[in-house]
Amino acid sequence: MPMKERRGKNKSKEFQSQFYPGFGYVADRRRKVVDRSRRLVKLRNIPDDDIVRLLGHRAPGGLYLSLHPPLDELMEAYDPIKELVVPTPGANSGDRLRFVQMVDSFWRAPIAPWLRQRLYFTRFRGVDTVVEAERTLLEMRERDVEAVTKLMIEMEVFDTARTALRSITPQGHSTRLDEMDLMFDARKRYILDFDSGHVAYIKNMHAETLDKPIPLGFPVPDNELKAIDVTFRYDTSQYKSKAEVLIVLSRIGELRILGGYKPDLINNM
Amino acid sequence: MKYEDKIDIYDDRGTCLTEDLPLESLSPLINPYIIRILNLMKSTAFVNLRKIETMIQKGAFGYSSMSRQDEINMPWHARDWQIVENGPAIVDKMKNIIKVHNGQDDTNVQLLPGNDIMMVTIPTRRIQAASSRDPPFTITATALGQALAEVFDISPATDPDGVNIIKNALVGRYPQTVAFQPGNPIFSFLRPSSQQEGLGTGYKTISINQLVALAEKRTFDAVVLTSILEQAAQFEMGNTLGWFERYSLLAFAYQGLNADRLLFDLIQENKKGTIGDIVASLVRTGLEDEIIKPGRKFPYRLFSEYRMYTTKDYPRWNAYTCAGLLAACIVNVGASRAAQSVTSVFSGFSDLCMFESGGLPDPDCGRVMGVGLGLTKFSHNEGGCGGIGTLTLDSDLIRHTSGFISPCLAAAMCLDSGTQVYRPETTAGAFFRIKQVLPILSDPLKKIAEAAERVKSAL
Repeated sequence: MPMKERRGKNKSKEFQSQFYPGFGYVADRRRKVVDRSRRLVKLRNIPDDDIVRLLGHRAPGGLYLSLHPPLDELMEAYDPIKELVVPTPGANSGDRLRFVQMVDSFWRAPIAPWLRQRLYFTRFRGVDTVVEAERTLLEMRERDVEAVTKLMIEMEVFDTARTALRSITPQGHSTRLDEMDLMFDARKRYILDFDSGHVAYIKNMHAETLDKPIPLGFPVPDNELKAIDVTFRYDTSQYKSKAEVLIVLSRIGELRILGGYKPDLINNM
Repeated sequence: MKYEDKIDIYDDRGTCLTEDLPLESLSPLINPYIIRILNLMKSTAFVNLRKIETMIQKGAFGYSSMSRQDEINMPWHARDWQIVENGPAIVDKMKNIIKVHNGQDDTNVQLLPGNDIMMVTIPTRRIQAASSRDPPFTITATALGQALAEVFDISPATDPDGVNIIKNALVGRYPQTVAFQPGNPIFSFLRPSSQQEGLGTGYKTISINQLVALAEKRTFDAVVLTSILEQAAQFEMGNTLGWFERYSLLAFAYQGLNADRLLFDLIQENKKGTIGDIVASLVRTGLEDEIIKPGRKFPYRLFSEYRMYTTKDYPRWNAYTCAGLLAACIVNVGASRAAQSVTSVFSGFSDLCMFESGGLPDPDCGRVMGVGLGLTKFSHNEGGCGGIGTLTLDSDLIRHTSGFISPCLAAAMCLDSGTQVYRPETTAGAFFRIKQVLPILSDPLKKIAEAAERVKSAL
């Protein structure tokens, strides 16, 4: 039977991605972050030059250095797949690969590293990410990484007090809060400006002192952070709402073990 | 016929090459083209004549690294033998030494374009009589030594030191070492069997960059070649027997050979998309093809309307997810055109895929995710494995799946636009030239399909 009869016999009309199981606003929050059709709320407005200064990869207004000539001018072996897939603007102009590393506090941050990784995979193209307990590294072409950082800082997944850009010394217990309710930073990259109430970065991501501070806006109040929390816990969503997640996780574990032992065992399971 | 599955094969432009192939005709045990490729890998050796000449004219022998040749430096023992110039004479002598009998056999000794690399094909009889795949190294080294001695008239009577120099230039410190030392001028596609770790992993001793060079950086060709070697190794190591034969063959067909145009369709549909889009397309395709179906009531339908999917044929769904994995790698790396973007797809795609499909296992029952987590870590600066192109297929970072990771890495290296330090051009430059004299390696997909057509009636 040829493919045209074997495949696509019935077009699935009502298919909708389901992303993640579970009740309540925590599970819904987890679904929202990875669902590209739902827009994230924009909380603040940061100028492009400030993003460039925060990242510290090039001087604001400076040229982009390139690894190779733009793709149009590059002599490459013939490959239909290269022509099919659309490269990002950064790849098109042959930019260097640069990175941004985000650190989330364990104490009620708007997003957690494991979910941040899913956000990258579902909303951005051409990503390279490494996840650890508290930090998420994102490597992309320079132009792309700047665009993406701007997006991430301005949107609701960033809280000036509980999320930070750190390339060095991001580790371990420094994700707890200090006496000002800011996430503790051994390099002291940001301070709470008492006059304006804004959190201002006085050093860039690499802990190099900036010429002038970059204010990123007010910390999000506690009760609002509670409403966008992604963790199941006693004061957000109770244990019961986690039941579905546990059902699915245990099913994944069971099927992986059985299927890895003998693939036909999990037919019709 | 053992299995009833039928497969159509499509090339990288989306055109159909052949229809209704039985699944077994793609098996490395049956498909004549695959067997020819495997024999080519086992029986071919290459000699870098230019390197031997430099070594002898400088008096520097033994272990060499990319930057220098630093084990033995004895310039007072240098000789001015013009080896590259005498290449044709050496080739003639080698041919006579290696061939089994005076008539015609499949011995082949020839110079590659540029005349400084010699390709030696060991005759089938010598391979059959051998217990391993070592003849390309041993036979070539010995024959070349005799040929050099004859061409430059060296013997213990005329030039006693010259005899030792030939030995040192060709095999280095072997047999004090278990195999020829790194940087030896005599090399093959595969490593010698004494450097192989684990039973049946012989076909996995080639590196990703070499395969990419053999495919001339054409994505689907590299994927096919890598898949062939991976699956041949799986068959050899006993990972593809009984319960797992159909599982592996289906995944090989869908991931490596673009069966039923699933891989191509996923890429084409999401050429501007993300990894999440590929996962959604994959699950929708699975639903349309009736491989998976959503549950109707509890426990398959939860109270939040989340549905668990079930499958009546898990090996086929696994093949679909493997094809989806490769499509996700191609789309992600194709967007950034930087090979390093491939590693995080393994964990990311698996993670999204198993929650999207309601608990059905991710590719290869979680083994891909396990490999991906380690590989992401070690391919970045913390571990420093030195770029994915330099990994061999049996590298301890990627060897734990049933052969579904390395085709993705090969595809990534093809799509890379020059961001890696260890590019195919620098670490496997000779293999681009080797490709030019081996027409068997061009259009592998078409040749597999034709070979399968020929044998399918006999199944």
